[in-house]
Amino acid sequence: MSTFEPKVIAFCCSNCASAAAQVAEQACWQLPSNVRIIQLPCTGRLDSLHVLKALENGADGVYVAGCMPDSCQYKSGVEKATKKIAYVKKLLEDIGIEPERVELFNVGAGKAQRFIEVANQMVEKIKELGPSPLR
Amino acid sequence: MSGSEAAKNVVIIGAGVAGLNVALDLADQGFSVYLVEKGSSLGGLIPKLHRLYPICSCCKVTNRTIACQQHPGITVFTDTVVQSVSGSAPSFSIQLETPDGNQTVNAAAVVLAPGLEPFDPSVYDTYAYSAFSNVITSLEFEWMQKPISDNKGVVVRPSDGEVPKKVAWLQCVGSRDINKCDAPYCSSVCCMYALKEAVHFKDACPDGEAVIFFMDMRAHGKGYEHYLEQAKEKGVRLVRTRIHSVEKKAGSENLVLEYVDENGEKKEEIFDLVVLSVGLRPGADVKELAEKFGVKLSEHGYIATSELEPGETGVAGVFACGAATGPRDVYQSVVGAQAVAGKVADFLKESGAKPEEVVFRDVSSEEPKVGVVFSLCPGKTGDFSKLVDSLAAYAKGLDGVASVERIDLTNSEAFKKLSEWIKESGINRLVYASCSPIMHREMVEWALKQAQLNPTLYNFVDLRTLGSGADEEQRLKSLIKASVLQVRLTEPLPVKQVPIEQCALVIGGGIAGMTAALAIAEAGKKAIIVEKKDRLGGHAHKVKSTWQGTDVQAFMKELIEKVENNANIEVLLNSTVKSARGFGGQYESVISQDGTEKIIRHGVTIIATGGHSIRPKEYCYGDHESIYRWSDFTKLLIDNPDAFSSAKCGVFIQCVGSREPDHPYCSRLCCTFAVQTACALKEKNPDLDLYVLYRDMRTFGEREIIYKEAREKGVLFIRYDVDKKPAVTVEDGKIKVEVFDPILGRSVVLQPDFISLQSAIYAEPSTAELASLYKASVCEDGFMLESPAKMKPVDAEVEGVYFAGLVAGPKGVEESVEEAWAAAERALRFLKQGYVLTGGVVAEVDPDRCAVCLTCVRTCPFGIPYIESVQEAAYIDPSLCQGCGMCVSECPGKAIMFRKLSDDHVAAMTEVLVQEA
Repeated sequence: MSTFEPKVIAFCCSNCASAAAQVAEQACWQLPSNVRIIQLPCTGRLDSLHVLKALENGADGVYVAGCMPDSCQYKSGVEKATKKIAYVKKLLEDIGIEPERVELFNVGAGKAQRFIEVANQMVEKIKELGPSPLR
Repeated sequence: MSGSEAAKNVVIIGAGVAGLNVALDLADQGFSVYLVEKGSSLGGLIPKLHRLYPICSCCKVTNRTIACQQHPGITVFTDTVVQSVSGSAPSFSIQLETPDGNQTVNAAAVVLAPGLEPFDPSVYDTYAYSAFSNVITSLEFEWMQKPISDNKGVVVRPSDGEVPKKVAWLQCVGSRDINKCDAPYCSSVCCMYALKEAVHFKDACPDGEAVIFFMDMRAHGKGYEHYLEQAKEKGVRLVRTRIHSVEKKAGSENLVLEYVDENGEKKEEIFDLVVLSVGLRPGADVKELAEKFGVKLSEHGYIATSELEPGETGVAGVFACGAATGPRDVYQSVVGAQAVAGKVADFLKESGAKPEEVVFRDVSSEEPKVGVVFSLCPGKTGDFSKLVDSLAAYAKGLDGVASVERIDLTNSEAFKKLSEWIKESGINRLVYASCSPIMHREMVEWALKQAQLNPTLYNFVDLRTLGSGADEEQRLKSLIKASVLQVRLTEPLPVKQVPIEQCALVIGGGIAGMTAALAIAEAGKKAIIVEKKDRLGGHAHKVKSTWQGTDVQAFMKELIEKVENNANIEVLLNSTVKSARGFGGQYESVISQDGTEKIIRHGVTIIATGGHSIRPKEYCYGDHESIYRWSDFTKLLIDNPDAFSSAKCGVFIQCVGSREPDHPYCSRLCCTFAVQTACALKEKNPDLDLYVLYRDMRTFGEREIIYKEAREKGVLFIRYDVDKKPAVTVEDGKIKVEVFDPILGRSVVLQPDFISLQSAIYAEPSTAELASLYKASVCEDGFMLESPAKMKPVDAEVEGVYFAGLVAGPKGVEESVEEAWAAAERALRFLKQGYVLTGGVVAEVDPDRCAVCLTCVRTCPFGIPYIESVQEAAYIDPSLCQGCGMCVSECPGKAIMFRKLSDDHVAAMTEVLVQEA
């Protein structure tokens, strides 16, 4: 198990999460190399299908880094994403896949530490769960 | 440098938040800007702050500094000072001392924005800043709170490195004091920054105690009172007292504060850390610069500027803005900077910007030919450079990649180079890998347009937070591969070029509306003023003078005359906007005037509908003819300056309705109004007893001087709490006021001949509906809401809509005028572009698949989609869509397309990203 390096896809909001990445970059903090980011104009653009396709294509985990609920530039984008992630978790549970493989985190603009933290947290969690049964 | 070239040159001295904003706005209008900064980096004080109230500072200034460095119209000089100045407007010759030797720049106009300096508290031995290591300044505290500080954002005590549990903030250190610091003025920003620091300390350390010792809590800006309330809710403790001295507890590094509280009780508390909220000073070079340019300084060493002609220094062609013109916060500095940009453009009368119609190459029949660019910031080189060669080789081998290039961002030439490379290499898609792709987006799109390539044919690879070790190579390769794949799948999105209607609709004919209209008209554009009433002037009819004493009535009359005689301005009285449609660049508004309707086509909208003061429902208002609302009180004084010459006693009651549930904000100008009016009455009639009953005296900035003057003249100030308000009664035609005096510790009864009630200011109530016609909105307090893109204080949420004056928040006349110039400048900057591009990254409805379920109509945060009756399907106007993509994902029928990032794109990208891992 110790050699298992999970593949994690992160959907990030191009406003708040991106501002957090900017600060993290200035502080020379790095994302774990297992994480690959796809930037969305707003996490409201996230479709349940995007998450399911990523899992189907072989990702061991998928997470969303969105704004704080009260500071979304598009007002309710992250709220919509939250609902979709809850829906996907339920689907996964129904077909016998750990719902923890999918998460949503609220990362405030400039919260660099949290931006890196959630990535590490996700990688650790997936390492515990082991490779995705869909691989 | 030829004469005609130099006629467009503007030298800006100081690259803090004010200087940066002037530079960008002028460069966008086609002026050649030389930005001179004495320090080694841009941004001034802001990059040293953790957060700007109420949100972080990082996204506010960093993007502007980068934009300045990369803007083709801006030349940046760092570590550079002005050596000498000769000539006068419009041909200054300025000798600069740069690290590479001396250089002369010719300029037609100059903007001084040298900024401020924090006060050095070492001169106070009683605060023991030099003696005790656990006494620090607010800037030092804030620096520790920054995630990039040595402590990674954790605040520690300098003496032992422990996290402090109990922290005190001492306000007014170096402000409102003539003893040691020689600064009788209020620094205007310290109350808010202390609250901000305390709130973030409580967030990081919920068990910690945060106590602010203050004299008056000055939360006088837009939204500030809400923040104050939140701070109290979070447990920040506020103690009204001025601390005399800081002592050390024997045998420890802890600090003892002794004070007398408002009830007269002596108290002693022990703190782990004491933070001195240091005030503002004019920058050290202000005096020297002023001498070189011949501009005058105020009594306190700030650059003196005209009150009602924003930024004018009295020397033709030399303007000033920012905190070097008086203590002010970031918000005010940006408004001032935009106003000065407007003033400079007005002064030079020459707009370098020639609207150019952009023509894009038709690439629809070409095979995708992708160009990959590695663009490294100076900070990203080193180890990362070593990876670039192998990544470039890898990128070259990918399907569809035609050319790979490395263009490092060293100066403003970088994006010009990029544009030339795009043209020469013949590519038709671009992948741009850099460590601040979001901030570069605007410039990359500029380069694409210059190369006649549709700006939507590009994608970026975000190099931020990626390492530079050899193990990073795999991830970088897959990111590049995914990005190349996506851009290959991208079709050029239809972009339409629409000419901007060269006319501004100004709604509201008060001081703000008239000033904005006049600035626009002077620039040769048409302005139409829509005024609800039968005369121009608005609320200014009831304002006597500015706080510095400039006659507002005379100013207003002159302004009305100028407006009425300007051929470019059309005034529509007794009229209102009935409906509007369109977008920034092309609006069509229906104006109703005396029952007839008129259609006006305009490119921009300026909302300046003003405000009112509430009719008090308390203090016996209406029961006695000498109990006035402040506006009526002033009107009386304007009509009859000797109105109260025989009065013996008068009372001013502050915060009538303000800072209470119906109007939970500060009305900003009432404190200044009361002290100013009291001073004027005392001058005429020194025997008149005057009382000001207040909650906090908020005479911010240099207005503090007239507060001091009022006290010296014998005006008495009595503080009251909102739960112990003064009681006013009228018996047998006599007025009686009973108020509890906290200093005497008992009630005082006054029998005034008159009362002036300073009642809350609110925005014209029809504004919310009006704003929604133009897809803008109002904040929770009913004032115009500014753009969520930071540092755009007079821009509404959508491009092409601006606002100024009381409708944006309570403020004095001089501030309304400044905002009006700022709004006009923002509007002109947009009008001068000539064309807007509509479409691009937007959502599109496929009418055949639309089931008219209204999901998109309900989902859109901006209310853009509507049901189009001919097609019987939803329609999303591409010129209004903000491109968030929310409706695309919510649509149950998958009837909405998002061509920039389709579901297929996402699926393909996840596949690539996972495979290569």
